[in-house]
Amino acid sequence: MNWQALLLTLKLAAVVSVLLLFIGAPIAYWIAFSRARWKFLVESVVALPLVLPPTVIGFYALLAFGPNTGLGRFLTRIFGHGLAFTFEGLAIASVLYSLPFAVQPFAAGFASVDPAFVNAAASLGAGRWRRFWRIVLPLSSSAVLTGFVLSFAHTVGEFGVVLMVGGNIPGVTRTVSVDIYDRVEAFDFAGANRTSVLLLCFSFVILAVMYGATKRAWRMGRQH
Amino acid sequence: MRIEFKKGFPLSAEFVIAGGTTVLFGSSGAGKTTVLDAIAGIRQPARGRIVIEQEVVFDSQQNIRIPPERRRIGYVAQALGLFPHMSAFDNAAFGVPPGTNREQRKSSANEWLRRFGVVHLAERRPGDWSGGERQRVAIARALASAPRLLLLDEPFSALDEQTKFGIILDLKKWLREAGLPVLFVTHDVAEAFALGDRLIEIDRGKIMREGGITEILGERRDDMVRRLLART
Repeated sequence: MNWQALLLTLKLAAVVSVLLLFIGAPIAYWIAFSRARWKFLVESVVALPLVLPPTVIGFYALLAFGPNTGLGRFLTRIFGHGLAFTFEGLAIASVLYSLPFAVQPFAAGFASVDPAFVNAAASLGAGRWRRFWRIVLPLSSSAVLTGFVLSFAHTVGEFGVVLMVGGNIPGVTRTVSVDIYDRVEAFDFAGANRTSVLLLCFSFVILAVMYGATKRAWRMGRQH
Repeated sequence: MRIEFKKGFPLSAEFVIAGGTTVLFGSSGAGKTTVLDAIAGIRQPARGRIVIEQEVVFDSQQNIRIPPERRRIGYVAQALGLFPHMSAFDNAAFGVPPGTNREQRKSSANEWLRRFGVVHLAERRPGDWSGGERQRVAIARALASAPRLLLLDEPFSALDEQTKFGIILDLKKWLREAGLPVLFVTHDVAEAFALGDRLIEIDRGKIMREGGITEILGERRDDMVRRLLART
């Protein structure tokens, strides 16, 4: 078992899912409540990673991180080094890749909050920010949990983006899925199997916890 | 206020709410709730002007659209909108104006719950409450926000007569002390007589009549008296 790859993968998934909470929630809020006619365009952009091959996202991320783009130069100034083949670069590309897995459940949860609660909060003097924190977020907590867990699990399993943006640097960008690929290439099927079984169990536990928590939240909601 | 809705609902209303309780009376679909939503800022009229205590909160010509959270209007909607994840205390405390410290917020929320006889629900969530208790908490919460106008949208329609008139008596007693102007939507003659001072009758999006309750609903008073007598 490559514990270094496992720890790096968990660290990447944790960073990405926390970042997606902060980046995804405002986008989801806008999608849920905006009446803009061009909302469908934003929804389409957010959903792109669902249909695009990960290598395409990785390829454009690599180009964007390069020194020939304004974004690449800006990020280099912020981080003090180029982002290709680094953990930070991998985290940013993974945020893009897992964006729909966070935003779509968040938006569905926010949109399902009864407008009567939001309107009541507004007439009681609560501004947009307070309505979000005190009303919308608590009443859609199961959807937020779903989005968080899905983006975490999706990042744990990603392969194409990791290989394109991160390469295969041990301790820096070699995640478990790349490690499994390496082992299969080296005919270490037993090693690949151990890691694969671990990922399989992990994925099952994550989904079971998520569905269990959602059902419990739903039952609690019905009691109100 | 003077408002007009064009898209989807041809409503046109122009009236002044004086002190006391003004009843907005009319059958279902007359446009009563739309008027309240416009005053509260939840729906934007296509045209018009709404002024509350000399403050223009909506003016389509001058492009003034004050958001609902800054209008200081207490609104007890038909759906009530009691927050299901909060206790009665937290519901009432939610409306206490910002700037009040923790202790004042606590005592204000408790005081409003006590005034409307629901302080025993302080730690309980809406799922456990009866219909009458829900109405009482909703009214207490709206008043805790120190509004300058109270809007009531058929808040008693789902209650039995005894519960309904119990709440109306408590509300009327408090309103007499506070002198807060109220716009009360109902299609029930007995409720209109019990709580109202003035009446505006609305039908299919148009104001039909305005004046004293007895003056407009006089002919229906005998029916109401018969209903009240039948109950006693």
